[in-house]
Amino acid sequence: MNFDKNKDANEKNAVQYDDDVRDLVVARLETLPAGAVISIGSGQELTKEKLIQCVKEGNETGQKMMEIEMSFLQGLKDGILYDEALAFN
Amino acid sequence: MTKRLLLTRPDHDYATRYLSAWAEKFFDLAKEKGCSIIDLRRERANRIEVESVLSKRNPCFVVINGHGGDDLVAGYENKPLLIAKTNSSLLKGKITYAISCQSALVLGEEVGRYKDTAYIGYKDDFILLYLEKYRTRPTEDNLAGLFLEPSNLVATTLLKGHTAKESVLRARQEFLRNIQKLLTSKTTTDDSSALRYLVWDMKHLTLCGKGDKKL
Repeated sequence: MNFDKNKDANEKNAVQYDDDVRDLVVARLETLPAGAVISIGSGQELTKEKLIQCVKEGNETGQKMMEIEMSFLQGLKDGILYDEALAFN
Repeated sequence: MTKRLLLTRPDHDYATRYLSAWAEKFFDLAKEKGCSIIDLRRERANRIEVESVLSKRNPCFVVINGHGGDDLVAGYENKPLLIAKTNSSLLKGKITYAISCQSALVLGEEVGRYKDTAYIGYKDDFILLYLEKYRTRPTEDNLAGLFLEPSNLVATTLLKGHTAKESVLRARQEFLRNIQKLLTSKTTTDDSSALRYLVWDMKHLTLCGKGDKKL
């Protein structure tokens, strides 16, 4: 079931990640433990192998994984791991 | 007067079974604090039952375990339970915690505008990482625990009499503690691969509405 009524708009506005980012995300996903499953979105439960495939294909789930990875790296730069980052904006 | 806690636990896939099993961890505390639990499990996690409980039994605390979207939270077999501009007013005057994807974005914002109401949820996808081998015994899965212990802290903090804002802060602190533990201890690469997803959930856990509301 697709819950996201803004999906089309989101897809149009989605950031396009280049091959370097894709390769980075694949490399990071390779470090997931064997037998790991990620639950993401409206009921999707994806194994490590399936996630890597999604990233390589660049589909919606793959784009999401790239967004999460880039958000993490950006967050490190912005000090998200310090206590003050927890404060309410 | 006895406080009532409404809980939905659809249990129709592995993710919702994990949420359901981990939610049981705060049942004892709820009872100890004098709360009666209205547990809508599996097929009972449907819109008709939820609407009926909310309007007739007036729980002060609502915990939704399930999938969702920006304007709704869902129950058994992903059928919508509470939807923005449709039946969200049933959450008026209550504290709601939705362990669900994206619902804080539209539904939570709308609910948070009602008087004397708080809605805690996630502005984007709630990510849960778990291990296949623990599917039949989710509470033994320490990897999933990195995500679900901070999440449960929202409920336990509220049950202990703290405010909605404090519950979110404590949960975020617990996410951060898990992140820092993974960064600084001699954990395996396996565990540290969870980092980015913990950061994601911590970042998107949000409070809408009245921050000083208590149960």
